Amino acid sequence: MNRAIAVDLEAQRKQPVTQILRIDRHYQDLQKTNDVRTFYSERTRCEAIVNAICKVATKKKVQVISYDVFDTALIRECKSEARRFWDISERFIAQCREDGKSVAFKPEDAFLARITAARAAYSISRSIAGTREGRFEDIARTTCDLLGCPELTTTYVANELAYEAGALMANPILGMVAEALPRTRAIFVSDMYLEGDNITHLLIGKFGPKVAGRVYSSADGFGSKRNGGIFPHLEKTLRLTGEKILHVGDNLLSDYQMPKASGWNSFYLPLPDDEKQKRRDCYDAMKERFAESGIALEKYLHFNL
Amino acid sequence: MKWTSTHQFGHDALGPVVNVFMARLHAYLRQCDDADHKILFALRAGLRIKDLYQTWLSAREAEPPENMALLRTSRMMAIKAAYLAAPTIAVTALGRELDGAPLNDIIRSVLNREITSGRCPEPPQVRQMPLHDFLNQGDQVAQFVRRYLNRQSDLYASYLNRLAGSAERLILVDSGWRGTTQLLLEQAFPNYGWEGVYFGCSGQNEILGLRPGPMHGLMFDSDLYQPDKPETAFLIHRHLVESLFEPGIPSIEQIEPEDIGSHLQVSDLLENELRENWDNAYDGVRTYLCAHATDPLSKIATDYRLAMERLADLLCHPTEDDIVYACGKMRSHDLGRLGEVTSVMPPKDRFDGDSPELRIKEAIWQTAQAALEHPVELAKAAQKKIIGGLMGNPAGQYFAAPTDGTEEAAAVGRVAIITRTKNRPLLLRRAAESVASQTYNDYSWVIVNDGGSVEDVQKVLEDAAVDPSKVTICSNSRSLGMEAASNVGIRASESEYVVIHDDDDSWHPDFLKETVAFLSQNRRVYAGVITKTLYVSEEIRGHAVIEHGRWPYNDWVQNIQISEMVVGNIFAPIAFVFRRDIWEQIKGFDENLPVLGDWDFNIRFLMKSDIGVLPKPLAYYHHRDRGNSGGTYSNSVIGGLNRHAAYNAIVRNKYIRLAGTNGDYAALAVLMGTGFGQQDVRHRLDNAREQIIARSGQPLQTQSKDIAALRQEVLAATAAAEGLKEKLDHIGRPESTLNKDVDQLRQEAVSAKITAKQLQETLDHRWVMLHMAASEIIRARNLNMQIPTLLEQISGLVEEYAQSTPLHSPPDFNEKKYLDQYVDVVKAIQDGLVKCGFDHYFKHGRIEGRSRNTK
Repeated sequence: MNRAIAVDLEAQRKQPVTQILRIDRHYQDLQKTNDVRTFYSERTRCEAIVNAICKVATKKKVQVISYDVFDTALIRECKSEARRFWDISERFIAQCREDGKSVAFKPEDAFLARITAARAAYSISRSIAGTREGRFEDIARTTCDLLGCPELTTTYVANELAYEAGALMANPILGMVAEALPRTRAIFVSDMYLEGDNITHLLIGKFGPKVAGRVYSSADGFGSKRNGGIFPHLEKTLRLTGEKILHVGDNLLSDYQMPKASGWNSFYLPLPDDEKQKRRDCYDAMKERFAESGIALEKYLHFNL
Repeated sequence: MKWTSTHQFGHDALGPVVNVFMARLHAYLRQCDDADHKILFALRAGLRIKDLYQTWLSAREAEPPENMALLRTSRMMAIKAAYLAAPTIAVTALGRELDGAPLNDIIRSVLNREITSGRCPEPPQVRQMPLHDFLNQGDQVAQFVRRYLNRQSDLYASYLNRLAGSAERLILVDSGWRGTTQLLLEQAFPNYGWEGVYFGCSGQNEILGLRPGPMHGLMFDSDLYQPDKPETAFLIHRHLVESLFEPGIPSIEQIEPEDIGSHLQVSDLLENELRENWDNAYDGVRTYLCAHATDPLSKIATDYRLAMERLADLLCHPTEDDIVYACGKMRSHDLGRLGEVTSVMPPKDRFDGDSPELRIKEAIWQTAQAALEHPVELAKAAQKKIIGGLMGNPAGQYFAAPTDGTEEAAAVGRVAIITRTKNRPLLLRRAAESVASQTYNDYSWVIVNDGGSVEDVQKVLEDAAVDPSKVTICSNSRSLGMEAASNVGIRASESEYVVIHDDDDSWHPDFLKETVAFLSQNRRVYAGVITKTLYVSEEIRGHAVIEHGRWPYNDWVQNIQISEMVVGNIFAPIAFVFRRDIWEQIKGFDENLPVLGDWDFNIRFLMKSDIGVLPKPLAYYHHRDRGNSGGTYSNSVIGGLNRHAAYNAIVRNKYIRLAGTNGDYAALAVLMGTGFGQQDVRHRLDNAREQIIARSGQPLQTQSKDIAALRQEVLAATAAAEGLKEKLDHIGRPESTLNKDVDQLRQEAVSAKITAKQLQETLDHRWVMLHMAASEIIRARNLNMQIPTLLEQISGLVEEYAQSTPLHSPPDFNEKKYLDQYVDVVKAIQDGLVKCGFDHYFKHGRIEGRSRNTK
């Protein structure tokens, strides 16, 4: 046998036969981080993710990139939703006192009112395009009603929006993707009790006025990502078919699987496991705290755990 | 806790519960406080709920929603309202609600208000017949009832439309439980969107496949008692809530023209209420609300929890003192019936044959009846049994070995799914859907590309809905073979369990959930589990997979025995989830076997541990057994038949040789020998049968069908035979049973058909016997009707007759076997509840799914 061929064959035999490949390499760094906000603040660490998004967008020739809002475009604090409601409740009482309004209820009362109101809103609100989405306006009104002070609804709404504005961090990868794909438009799609207008204000506060007119919420009554109803609505609105749109988000079902099932392209960008665990630990701590007072928090939050 | 008065009981025990109910009700109704909605408090419970709600709001100085109204309704009223729009549903509902009542009583119930008001006389008696049939008759009584029901439907439509105004959504507020009234009103008035808000929900009523729309149980939503949710204890004594919310006013069972447009006021109705002593409990609740409606929500929640825990204990384990205060009111019959019953009855015999067990079974509040019937310790045991029954059957649907209590009820453990593939993207796409659709998501998916195009695999994954973080691709630069590919994939993963999901097979969405749960709960007994499997026949045409049918695969497998496994592999890899540590112990799959490697693995697995069987068909074993799906898309089972025969010998020989050096395999070697013998005999028998049949010229369809298709024939013929047996139970005659041994599969197909023929002959014989009897009845009573007409009428009465008459046992019914199998039936006979085993079987056993055990 020719010596070169023999050497070649020998070299091949020494090569491992099996190559291990992953399809999520672009966010393996993200998955290992224990502080998602710090991760996203460092441009170099985000590059792999940005490149992966751009690669899909280019390959599929998308014209629009649709971003999930909370924990994708806007990164939340490392808290459970229950804890967020609690902080909002404390802040609401402080705001009322600052405004010179004397209130007899305590943060736990405001918290229980909030989750009771939210449960009712999510359960019995009118189903539109197959979606029941509690609207924030209704939740706020009922919350204040249960506290015996319906006149404070406006204060409640303003308080929560201010809280959210202060607690959210703009995700820099949006800007990086926009730089890399200047001709691709961005829109924002959220499954949330906050209506589109309220989310727009939050986004404008972080990304500037250019996001106006591009924000869509399940609370607006055109369906949700979770049940898939919003995708055909957006195709009509944008006058595009789903294959020209790439949706990016952190929820496996509503941001990755449902868009695919609706004929869209999708890119899964989950929160790191460490972050999810910390939020679960935060919820467990809240649960224990309320259990000491004899309140089974999980029963109140049953609709939205 | 000691109660001193009914008022105190209402105040302390029920007040905190109702306070939370009001808060939740208010939150829900606030969402519906606009012109698009009308909130309808359904009489009679709605009257008290509205009264309490208004009391609660007044205490808080809050305004009620403007769009609330009382709704004249009841189940009987809803049935009448639905008659015009949905007569079949309405009549079915009526028949079910008054199940067992003679037709004349049903008619009277329907016309009750007309009769008591003097507007119509007592209707003449009609002959007994099914309700649907009666209402289709042309006689005067039927016509009258139909006209009456149509009129009521019309009036109710006018009433409701006036009450609803411009509202599009109607929110029904009521006590509970299964949404029957809601369902009927939805069917009667589908132009409205309906939702129900209830104190509690306990399942949903289903009538002719229809269920109510959205129902919201504000305090509980369960049809089983769950100790960790004390509020579900109301299921033990729902009458407590019904009593609380039942005002002393007549049930609304008829609508009058003057009701249209008139608005009922709570105060007017309560003014004329007929009150009982127990209504003081209601007053106690009102007093509580007046004092505590303005409590902070946190206090309301805490007080509720304490009260509910005490109340749950009371409902489950009541003392005699508790019973006095918590028994509730006399329960009035509704649906036009007169009379009342108590939630508990005196602990003494009501008639000959009565017993404490019977009284407990028939009591509305069973745990209380047990407390009255027995001394404390026995009462506790009886109460425990009752509560266990209300918690459902925790044993599960499959064998579960005794546990040491450390197993978790929920599925735990991580699963590695190993998919071997090579240039089959069409099938891999389907496998990806199968994995992505799993309801259990603690898995990793390893795709072993064994020498094929990795780009094809990546392309499939781009479009797949599987979580990308769960996917690993092991790409082999050259093909290592099926068994080596499995080992590569397993080594590239970490998990407690492993399953080989080949690229051409698929799963039911609950496959992983069920198998992992099984293994978690039975870890002391089984290290592996298979599910039942469906064989899927398909072919590839172009870029599409065309399915031709699916049927059970090796459905006879109830357990996994080594002695059976040595005859041949009895389950497919797609159905088998196993523990990784056993794979490690037996050093994985034998990479020297190009085929039958799974069989070899299974045998060695069984030498270490047992494999359980989940009796649900959750795995789908796909075969390209039609068309020209050869080459890449062929199955190894179908495409490589000659190699199977060769390696069958190689595997057997391996274990026989192994026995020479490893004593552990001595027994297996012996079994291999006998297994070969069995396999050989079966093949020879199959060949012999086929030759005999071919020579006899009988057009037996079984000649060219495989085992799975033959099984279908046996099942179909067996079903036909069983159906005939059911009919013969009316008269009774000995018939032979079918042998379901799988080894006689082809013979059984023929035998089943013969038995079915024999059964048909017997059925004809019995028809003639009925003919004779009917002829004699007609002659003796001088009836003017044809024999088939009389028989048809009698046929409609069979169930009713059977329920009310002790039945003798037919000759083909094996009394001894039935009684040996079901000792509770022996007791029932001794207690005089049934006459004999067959009497029990026909009345109860066949509904309960008990075996008939024919001779």
